[in-house]
Amino acid sequence: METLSKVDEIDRIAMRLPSEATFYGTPMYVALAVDADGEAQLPVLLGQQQGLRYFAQYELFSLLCGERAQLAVDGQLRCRGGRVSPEHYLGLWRKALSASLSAQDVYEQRGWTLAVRLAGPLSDALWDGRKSGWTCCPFQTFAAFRTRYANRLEHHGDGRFTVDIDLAEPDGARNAFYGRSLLSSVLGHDGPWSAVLHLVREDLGASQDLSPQRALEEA
Amino acid sequence: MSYRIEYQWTSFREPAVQGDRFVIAIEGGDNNVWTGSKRARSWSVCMLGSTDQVLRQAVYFAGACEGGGLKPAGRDCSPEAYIRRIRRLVEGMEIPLTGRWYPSIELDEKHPAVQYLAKRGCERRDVVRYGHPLAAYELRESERGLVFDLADEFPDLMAWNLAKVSGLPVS
Repeated sequence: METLSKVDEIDRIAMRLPSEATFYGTPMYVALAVDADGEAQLPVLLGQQQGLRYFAQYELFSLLCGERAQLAVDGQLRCRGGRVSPEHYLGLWRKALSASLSAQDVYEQRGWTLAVRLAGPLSDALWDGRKSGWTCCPFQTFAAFRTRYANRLEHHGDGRFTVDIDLAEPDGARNAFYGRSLLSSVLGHDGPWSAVLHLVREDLGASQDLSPQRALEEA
Repeated sequence: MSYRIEYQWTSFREPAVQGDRFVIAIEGGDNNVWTGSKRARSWSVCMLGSTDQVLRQAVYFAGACEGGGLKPAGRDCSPEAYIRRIRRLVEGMEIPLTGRWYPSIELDEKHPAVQYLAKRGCERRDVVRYGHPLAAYELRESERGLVFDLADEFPDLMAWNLAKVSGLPVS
């Protein structure tokens, strides 16, 4: 379990993804806890740092029960300074789910951009003739993906690329999901690629948990 | 999808100076494992420790409820309701069933708790379960508090690795 020292969670956001974002056929969310950081607000993306962190409702509750709700038992996690039982804490997340926001809402209300950074190798030898494992994937090959993001794909000196896909843009959540799927199915689960959801705060102008260099190092 | 069904729950309270300790036993089994015309089920110790330790373990297991992996009495249940059910056991709002618990420790032989028990002079017996070598300990009655010390020191240990129950009624 992630070890957190005293946490004061002042708000929580269940960001609802469009229904076509995945092929699971069930509503998917990105979960954002908002912790107090002195007088400031610190948004925290729930889930393991590596990955898209798209969760079905049952996955979100499993995650909460594995981490934060346990900390509520003895007051290591508080809500707006007050102690809450784990049952009450989970109820707060149910309310957040019932009032879920779109990525656009999150940007408009908080100024927070959620983007998936995909990173991987550009070498044609790795991609030629290889296809996505899913027929519903909007880009069956890396060439198609590269064409779709031609104006935003950043080429790095070491033969690798990164591209940031904003979840608020049309088809952003879907393309991030299937882009990750393409990288995984062609390069292998443990291959030289990464797909990391990160948050950019308009007020700070920087990624909260991922520098561009780190995406490459972690790939 | 297969899931776990829980049928009965009971708790044993162990008074202690630094706050009572609890042993939570649950009768449960898989939905798709049958013995004749009845689903297989057995009692096991599922949570153990102080009130807070037991509730933390209850929250962890409750995470399986939302997705239908854990169904008390075979029915859908929210994690919140599952936690409340276990809370009632440690808050003394349920009448305990007759039966007893006893220390029965089986650990991976590489687990640091093995060294911890060796320092306390506990007699080790080597056993093999499903091809996996384990260090086993049968503690004397006077040493039963040691299972709670282990729960304090090594929160990664599962309750069923530390204690067993007997004499509880079968549903």
